[in-house]
Amino acid sequence: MAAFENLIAAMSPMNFLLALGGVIAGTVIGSLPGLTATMAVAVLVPITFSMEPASALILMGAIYTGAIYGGAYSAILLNTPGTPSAIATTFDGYPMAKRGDGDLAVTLACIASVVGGLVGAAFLLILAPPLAGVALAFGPVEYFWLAVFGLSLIAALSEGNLVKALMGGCLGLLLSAIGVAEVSADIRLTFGSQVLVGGIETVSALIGLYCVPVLIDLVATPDKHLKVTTESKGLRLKEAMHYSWRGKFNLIRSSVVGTLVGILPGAGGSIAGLVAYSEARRTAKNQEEFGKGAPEGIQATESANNATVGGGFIPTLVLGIPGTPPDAVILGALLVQGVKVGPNLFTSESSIVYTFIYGLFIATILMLPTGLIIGRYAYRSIIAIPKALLVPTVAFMTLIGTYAIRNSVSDVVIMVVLGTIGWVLGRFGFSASPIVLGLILGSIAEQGFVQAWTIGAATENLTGMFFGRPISLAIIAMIVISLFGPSIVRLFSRQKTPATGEDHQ
Amino acid sequence: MTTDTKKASRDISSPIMAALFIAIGALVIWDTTFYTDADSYVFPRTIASVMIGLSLLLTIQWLLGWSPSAGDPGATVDKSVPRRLMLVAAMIATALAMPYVGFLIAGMAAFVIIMLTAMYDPWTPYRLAVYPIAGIIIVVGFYLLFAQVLQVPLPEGKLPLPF
Repeated sequence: MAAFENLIAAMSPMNFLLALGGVIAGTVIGSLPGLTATMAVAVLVPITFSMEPASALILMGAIYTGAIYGGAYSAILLNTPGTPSAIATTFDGYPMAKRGDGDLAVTLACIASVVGGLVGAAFLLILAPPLAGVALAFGPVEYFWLAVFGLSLIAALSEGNLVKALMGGCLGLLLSAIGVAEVSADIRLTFGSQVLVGGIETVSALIGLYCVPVLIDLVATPDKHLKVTTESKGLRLKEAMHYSWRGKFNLIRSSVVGTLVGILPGAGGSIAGLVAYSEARRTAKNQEEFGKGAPEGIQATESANNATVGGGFIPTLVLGIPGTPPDAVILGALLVQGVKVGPNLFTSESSIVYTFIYGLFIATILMLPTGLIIGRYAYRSIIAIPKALLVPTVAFMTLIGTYAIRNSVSDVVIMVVLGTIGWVLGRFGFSASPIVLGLILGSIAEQGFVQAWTIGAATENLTGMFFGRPISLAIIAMIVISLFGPSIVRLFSRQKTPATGEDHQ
Repeated sequence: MTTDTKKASRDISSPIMAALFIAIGALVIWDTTFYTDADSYVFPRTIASVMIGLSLLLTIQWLLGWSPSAGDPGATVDKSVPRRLMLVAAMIATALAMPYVGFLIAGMAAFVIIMLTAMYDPWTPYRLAVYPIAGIIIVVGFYLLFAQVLQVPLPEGKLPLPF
């Protein structure tokens, strides 16, 4: 009965409008390179201070989920992740857009985001208190191995030369170390430059490495940005639904991965997307198509990153530990409102929590029509805008978006310089993705490694620290399978093929 | 020796890039010698060492003719290099000019220069009228969105303006 009352409360006209408005605002903000989901929530938080706690949570949750989805637009259409969560969406989204399937890619991303969001919200509704314990089971060494697992995706992105991809990954890891060391506060790799003391901001580096090379190539030829088919195919919803049904296991698995990664404080949508992508590729029959425009890649990433929304709320609400950066902002807003988060929240103030969870379901469902409409509009705009207007518009967006992250001119210069370096390296067979992976996962890997090393050295059990914990061993097994599984399968299939041939002879 | 292998062994970009990455790795290791705490240097030093090792491996691959992906440095030949350089120069100049002339003016100048750089079609009266207006709307629109709605403190400039 109480559940029904909470559902009715979530469906009140006010909460419904807040969910709708939040999803639209979040989608639009998230689609702009440089404006992350965290910024979208942070910018709009002051609006919520005068609201009821449940309504405030619904609005913030809707903005958050919309922003995570919105990041897919620029990832697919401009090869620039609107938010870091959409990094892996570029791997297959942009190739699809280039070959004329951008509309299908956007629709696939929308459906996957809705599925992921619903699975994450379902976990939040049903399993929040027991799952919150997962967050506490992850120590520094597990975070280290999780980051290494994300890095193992480099093997999948090697584009023909694994050594070059690994070198790019190392370069990214070193770039992540620039600036003030988090553990000891040493100033590293700045070589006396004040510009580099603040380190390389991840989102601005993403914008530079992904977007600037595209712009450099766009101005060099009179060719169209994306291939445009002569006939309008609409939303291609039926086709997308067919792919989604065919990839239902991928969608569900990626959503569960996203939820579980979302529960881990600090991991976030980018790692969730990368891990889910890696798993989707590992288990796919068409592995060679990944990175060249495989719909399964978009489905994995987009369902996983939207599932982190519900997953991230689990430790936020149950333990008071934010699962993802936007959750930290939302936690702050809740404290301002006087809501005490913690294990008792689900009993003492259950009406707030459950009204919010139902509101999150509603916002996620609303993302389907709004996302499809906005996505269609975004796609049509990108293909209709003449190159002479598209290039300066995107260039201007990268400049203003990068500046807005930390109000720093240095970040803008670093973004352009990194993008140019990325373009030059691309000419010599070094793709941007391994560098980006290294850059994003570097700080998590380093923190986990150094902390685990310190604890292991203090307890005189380094080997046990790194290789003796059950969760670590499970992740290590996944890394080994991810790196060497495809090669082993290929080896076995090669051995099998001649034998079959001999049988025929 | 196959054609691909011959091409790979002729390609000198791999050893040059390997040398560049070895130099970067050496520079990183040299920098780590100045850190006060082991926590600071363990990670970058390890990664730099691995990168140097991989660079040597790339060189060995090249020597043995096993380098399968040499990239495509020649892809620039039939495309406009001056336009590429102009785009990068315009973006960097905009970033450097922002604190002095303000974000709005720097952004407008960047938009115009990049628009001219990306323009391949002939300038018809329609384009002459519409493109600049569209540019002003886009730049001013984004400026207002960030400065007024999102409250981002965009640079206002230090130089006195003539108007």
